[in-house]
Amino acid sequence: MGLKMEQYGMVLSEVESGPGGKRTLELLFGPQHPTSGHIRFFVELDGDIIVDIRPDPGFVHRTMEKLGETRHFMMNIPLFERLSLPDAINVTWAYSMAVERMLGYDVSERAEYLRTLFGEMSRISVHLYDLALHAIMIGSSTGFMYGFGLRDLLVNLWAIATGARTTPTWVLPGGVRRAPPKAFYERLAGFLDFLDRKMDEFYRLVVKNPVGYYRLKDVGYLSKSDAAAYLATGPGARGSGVDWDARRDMPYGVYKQLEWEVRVHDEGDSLARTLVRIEEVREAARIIRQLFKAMPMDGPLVGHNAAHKIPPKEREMLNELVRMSGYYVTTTNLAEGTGVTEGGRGRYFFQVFGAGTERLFRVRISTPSWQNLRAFMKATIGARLMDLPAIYGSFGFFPPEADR
Amino acid sequence: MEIPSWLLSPRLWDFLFDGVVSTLILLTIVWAERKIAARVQMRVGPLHVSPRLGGYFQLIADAVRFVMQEVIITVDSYRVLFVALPPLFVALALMPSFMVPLSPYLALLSRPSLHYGIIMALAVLFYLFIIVVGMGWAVNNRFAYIGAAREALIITAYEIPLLDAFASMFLTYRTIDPIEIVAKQTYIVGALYNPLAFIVYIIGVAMATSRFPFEIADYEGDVATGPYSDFSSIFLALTYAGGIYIALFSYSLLGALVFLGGWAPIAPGPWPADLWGNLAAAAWVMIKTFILMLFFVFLRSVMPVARLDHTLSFSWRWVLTIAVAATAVSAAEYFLL
Repeated sequence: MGLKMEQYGMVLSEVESGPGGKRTLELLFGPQHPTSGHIRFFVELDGDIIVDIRPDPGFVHRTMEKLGETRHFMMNIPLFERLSLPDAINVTWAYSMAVERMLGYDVSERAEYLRTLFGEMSRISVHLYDLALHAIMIGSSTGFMYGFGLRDLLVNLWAIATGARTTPTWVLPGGVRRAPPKAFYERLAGFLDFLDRKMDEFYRLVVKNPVGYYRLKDVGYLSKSDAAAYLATGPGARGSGVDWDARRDMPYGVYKQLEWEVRVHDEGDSLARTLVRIEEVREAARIIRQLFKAMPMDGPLVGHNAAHKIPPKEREMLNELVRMSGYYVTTTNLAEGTGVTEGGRGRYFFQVFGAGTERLFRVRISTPSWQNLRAFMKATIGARLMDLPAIYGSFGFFPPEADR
Repeated sequence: MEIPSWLLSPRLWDFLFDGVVSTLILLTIVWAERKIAARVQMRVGPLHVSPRLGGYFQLIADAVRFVMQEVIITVDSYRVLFVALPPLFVALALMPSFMVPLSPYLALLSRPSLHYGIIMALAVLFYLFIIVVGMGWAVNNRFAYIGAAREALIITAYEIPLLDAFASMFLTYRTIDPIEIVAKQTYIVGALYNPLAFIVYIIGVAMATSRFPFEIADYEGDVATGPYSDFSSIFLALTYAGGIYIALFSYSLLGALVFLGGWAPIAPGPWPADLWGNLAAAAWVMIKTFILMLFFVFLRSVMPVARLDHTLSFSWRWVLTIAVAATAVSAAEYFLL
């Protein structure tokens, strides 16, 4: 054949040092693989068992932190949104929160309610996105289509309110950019009812389905102490019994005034993480329904300090939309600020350092997927090869977000 | 006008009918699979090409694309097997449908060999896994290698129960002759004679043709379609995107004959012995085959993929048990009926 056996790629690497000796096959899983996403895993297989897995992230590293220093701080909002487009609102909210604390801006009451509303929509969006990808990873194309079909209705609502389906660029330091029109509220209620019904169907079709159930049950176990030690966050931690949620433990928005629960499951397997996310979708719908009743329907969209920067003539329509010229002549303070929000995949953290110019001196970003990567790797060791997609999807790992 | 006698040969008509109808069924089943899945998933499915026919010609367009695409043979592959195995796969997958009769007179084989038609068909179908393993080896890619190993494991899971299911039916009918088997199902079809064997048949065929939830050897999620991962163009059409459906067709045809009564229940009594009567009988068999195939492709819409070890233990622990129980039922029927 003209080729040596080594070139056939089927030679096993052997480590025969004492009792720990093993005979393994190294599998390069990704970055061009149907379910790997933009990341590569070096998977060491002993038969069907994953004995070691090393991640090779960075394929979609876009130097977000460095780019954040090179432009006006307002222009960072559409930039950082691209960290995680499914979770656009929660990312920009964390950044805006950090800038607000740096600049000493206050947020108007209406804007807080609107942000909470959209933050929960963003959570639904990212959970639908991840659940859909998880479903196709374990082979259920119907779950995939359900997730994306439902999310399409949601992004259409975003389009009504903000003008863009996936890149709303809607949260500003001090408030929000536009007030949603009446049509938005009218359709949102119908969407939530439809969502509740379809999530039940999704649950029956993918999770309760015996095949799907045993793909997830007792797979990718992550103990509570491991989840805490590896700093897992979001469903990755709450699926292991770590009862931590930034919405409750580092309160922001109007979450304190609403009735809702942090969903925690103690099992620590893929099923628990998936159930946490499905239940969080229902909780988010519950929160949005409460916001409907409590929300002020009129009022300025930005806080007093931010409004003060806007020229009087442009301040006239402040209840409907915000003209941004005032922001672009604002410079940063020689101060720093941090913002923490709980996105769908976990905790977003932004820290900004002002430089006194219109640009920031430094931006630090911590994203949940990056934090979950270590816990994800820990959960994968010892699993079977067919479990790798089931564990990957259960963490909702999203390489563009992890690589920043 | 005198019709030459060779034009009325049952062998010629069997060959033509099987060839044409299996092609039609193949196209229709792929289209139906996509349409059914679309229906379940709140979409419309293929509709761009020939919207008035529900996008049916999309399959023709896909077939043309498969044929026109560049044939890529990877550098590391073993070229001889890489090229030879896909056509062999299709040949072996389609061959069993020529070994069984489609009506009392339409058959390619004549009596002494036709007697063993179903046995031969099963033997040929079980050889398919060797082709798949060979492809996995010829492709020379780790994913293909793992997929081939899985295929070799899975045949151990379905081969014995599936054989047992057919053997049970032979015991019930007290014959292995396909024409007599159909004659015995004039009033009660085989699936009612022995429902357990039918269940084993359904599960076994789903495993053998890697239908969901047993799409394990060519699972997209971890081995990226496994043995077929480096095939493109016509090779893909001959194996993963087409050949497997032909194997499904052959399995379903056997199922239609053994479990669903073949051409029998539409009208008891002898069929008209002329050409039209036989073609109608064959068409009735094909309709049953198509319905069986519809069920198998429908599974894609509702099932995720089961895990390899779960499948193996499920098969050895439960499917084999059901198969043995089916044999017991058949043995009881053998002595009582």
